[in-house]
Amino acid sequence: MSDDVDDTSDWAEHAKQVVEQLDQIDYFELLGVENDATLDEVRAGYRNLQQIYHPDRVFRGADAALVSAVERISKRLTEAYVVLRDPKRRDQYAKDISGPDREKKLRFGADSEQQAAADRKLQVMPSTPKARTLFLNAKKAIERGDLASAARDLRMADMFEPNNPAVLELIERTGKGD
Amino acid sequence: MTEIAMGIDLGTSNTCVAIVRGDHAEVVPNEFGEPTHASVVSFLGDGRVVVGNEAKRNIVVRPESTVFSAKRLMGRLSFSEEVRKARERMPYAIVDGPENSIRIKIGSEEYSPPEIGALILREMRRIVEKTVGQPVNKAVITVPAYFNDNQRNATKDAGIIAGLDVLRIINEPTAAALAYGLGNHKKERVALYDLGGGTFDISILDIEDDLFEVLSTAGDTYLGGDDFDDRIVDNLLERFKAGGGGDVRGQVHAMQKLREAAEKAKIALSEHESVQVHVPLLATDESGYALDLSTEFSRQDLNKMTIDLVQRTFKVCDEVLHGAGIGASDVDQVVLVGGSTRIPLVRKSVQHYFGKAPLTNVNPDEVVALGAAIQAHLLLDDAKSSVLLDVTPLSLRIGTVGGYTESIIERNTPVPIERTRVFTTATDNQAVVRIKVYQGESNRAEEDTLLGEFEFSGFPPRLRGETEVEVTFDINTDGILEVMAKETQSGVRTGTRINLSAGLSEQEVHEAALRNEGLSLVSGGGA
Repeated sequence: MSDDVDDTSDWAEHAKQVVEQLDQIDYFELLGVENDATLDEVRAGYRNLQQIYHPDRVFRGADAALVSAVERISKRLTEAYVVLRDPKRRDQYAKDISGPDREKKLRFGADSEQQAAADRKLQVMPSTPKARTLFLNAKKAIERGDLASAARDLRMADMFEPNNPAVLELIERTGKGD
Repeated sequence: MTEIAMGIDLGTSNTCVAIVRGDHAEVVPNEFGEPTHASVVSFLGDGRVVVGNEAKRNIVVRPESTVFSAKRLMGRLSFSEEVRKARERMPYAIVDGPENSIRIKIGSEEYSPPEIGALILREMRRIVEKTVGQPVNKAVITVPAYFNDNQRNATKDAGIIAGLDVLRIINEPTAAALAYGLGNHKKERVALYDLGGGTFDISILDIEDDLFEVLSTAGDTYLGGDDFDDRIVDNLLERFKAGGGGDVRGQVHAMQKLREAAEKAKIALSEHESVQVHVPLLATDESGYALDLSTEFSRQDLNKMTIDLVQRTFKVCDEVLHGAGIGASDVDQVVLVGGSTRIPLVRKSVQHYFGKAPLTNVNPDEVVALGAAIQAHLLLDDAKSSVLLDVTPLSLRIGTVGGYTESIIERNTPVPIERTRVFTTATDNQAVVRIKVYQGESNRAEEDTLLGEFEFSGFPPRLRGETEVEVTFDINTDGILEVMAKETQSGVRTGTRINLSAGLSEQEVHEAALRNEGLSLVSGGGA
């Protein structure tokens, strides 16, 4: 899908073909990336294709069918990007489309969304030893009611393992003082 | 004749209009050479209306028929905090309209906030048409990135009432990014810090050549330069009282004089370390003697009384960086937008927070309008390939049982996007489903903003749980939401896409447009 398209009528034809395939391809195929693509590759695929199929490109278009085709493609590109840029959703999606229900799971639905959300909650402990020790210390400190030490330990844990959701969640809670 | 489209920054305090001529964007000043115009509308009582800086002077002499800061009321419901505050401090009358909306009462007429906005937009159009000598009716209008769906719809309604063809509603920080022409031949990650008269926005964008991708956005629609003015006014009130002048709080005329003096002092303090504030005839004593306020006001005084406001913006900055999954040091460029970023304390604090000097080479009062003009120009020509990928600033949710809500599209999701969720009926033979749509970050309905609700029916009755209703949320490139419902087995669907605009109906917009045409704009300006 990442062919260069410069001629306008070719481009219009191309858009109409793409829209017909939309429901038969998975998000990786749609963005033109491999299943093990990096986040940067996913993002580049999304950006390149949005530059080709963004609704602004047909803003003055008289052809209603083309406008609606381009809108559908643009929205589906966003949908694919939102799933593939998020590690939990992407894991779930990769499972979905390699399973027996692939045909039904080409679009990320509510069930998959809930599964990904549950996985996100499961992923609590920091994975580096230093951060994990600090994280556990902080939890104990919170139980003792010693929020100041908890906050200190959590800040350090965040330095050893930045952006761990569990650490961030605790930082937020201790910050609010509850 | 080359087609011209306007870019309009419809601000809380000031409005600015720009167009692209040749190959560059330029602000169009009015016949008095003024590049920006106070967002003030003064009704003269004979069908004539003055808009802009001339109207601003009428705030003191015609307080009941001069409307300012109407943007704060756009898309707000009558029971909201913002409307409660406005009723307290605005000299003009705010009355209840149909369906929890509000109206501004001028004499015997009642105007909706979009109608006031429309008069300002018409003035912008008049200025442009006078300058270019040809009719112009296409426009891109900007809104704060953190505006909710009702506020965006109200802004679009203002455009329609003014008789404009609104090409697009775009976010102010995103527009500013366009005007800066960043990311030429290299990838840049840019923070746009936008502190205007009434609102604060911060957006993080990745810019690469013609592509502008917003990674995250956050804001506070209750924080702006007006709040700085309020602090100064409070302080001046205290000083006047301490000096034996008495308490003039609640006196419309005196308060307006103080507000003017406060704004002037604030602006002067961006240049000078200290200013003399002098307000003549602020009150009279028991024996009828006129009392003036005269006092020295330093930048340090201002800093002390507003530091908490500035700190509030950095809480929002923390949030936006977290949303983008980056730290302050990952930002390559910081751009200042909005007149309030001229305040030295704001500048210094931004530099400290991001660890680099912010860009200020485009006038912060004009940069948004310039960007909007560029976007308008691009939209006139399909061959142009610049693409703006913006996000939705607040999560969109659906009401569920027990006063809870479930997020359908979370905040910072790129648009355009469409998402469908399936719900089932809760009781046997249920024939009607009530769908309530909310915007906000809480799973408790009472803490979110209700955007609208509608009833869906016409499908055959079945046992509990057997009727499946597909609800689709569709956000277009204006960032405006449409909701559709469909019953899966029978295929019954809502006739048309439902626009949730809690504000004006199509009929009301039409009537407002007719009434608006009946009002004639008198040329203002000449400050």
